[in-house]
Amino acid sequence: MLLHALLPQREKLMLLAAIDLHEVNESVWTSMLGLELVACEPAPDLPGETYLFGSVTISGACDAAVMVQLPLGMARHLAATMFGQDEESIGEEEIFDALGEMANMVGGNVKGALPGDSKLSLPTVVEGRNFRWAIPGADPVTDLSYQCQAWTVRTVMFERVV
Amino acid sequence: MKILVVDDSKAMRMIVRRHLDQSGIGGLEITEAASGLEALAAIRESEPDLVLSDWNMPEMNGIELLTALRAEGCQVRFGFVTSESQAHIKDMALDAGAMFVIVKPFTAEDFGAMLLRVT
Repeated sequence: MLLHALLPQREKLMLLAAIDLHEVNESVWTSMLGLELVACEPAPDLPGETYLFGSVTISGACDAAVMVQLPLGMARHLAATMFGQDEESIGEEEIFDALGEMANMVGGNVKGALPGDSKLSLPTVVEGRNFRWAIPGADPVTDLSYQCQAWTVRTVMFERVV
Repeated sequence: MKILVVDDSKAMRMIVRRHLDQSGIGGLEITEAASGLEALAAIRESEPDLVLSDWNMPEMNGIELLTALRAEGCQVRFGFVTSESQAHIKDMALDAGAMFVIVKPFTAEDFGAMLLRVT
């Protein structure tokens, strides 16, 4: 709830504002995969740390995007959990696959809570260090940070209001 | 019971396989396909008892796979395992001949209940 208060006040109607992203995260991360998420304050990216971004876009009822951001260590742990394997046996392909599917599940559940007919894109996954990213014209509606074991997890919903 | 799991995500195929194993229903022989096109070939060749397919996949998505199967007269039992939870998606799936839609995230109990229903 505190994190909601930190977001800019929007005068225009944003459909995603009615969606409880935390509930979606809990159902996907915790109920399905058994990964405990503890809400925390947002932290700046660590210099030199490798991060991965998984995202899907939603079009139809609104123009929106859902993004999941993880440091590489967390992404590897997520993939190991999803594949049911040791982290040592997880390669880049598995990490990208797992994060893409995670973005797909979170985005799919967000889309499912929207009224009307919307379409979900195939997921995109990006990996890198010290880079900036933006969705031009869209604003963050909900931006949640979590601690998951030793790592941080960030999930953000963006919406473009025309 | 021969089950074909169709999903372009290997991670999701593994999760579905694990949940099927944990469903409490024995005697399951699970195979996988990574795309709708691969699934079409696998279904023609091995004639599974049940197909569990993702909805959003590149090249041929799940509903296109189901439509193609029914168009060639294949009446294999078919269900979706998908992030698509909107009512019109479920309606579209059932209209096309699917028996059920399991929405991600799911539990092993969801699969157990589904298997009891379709067998």
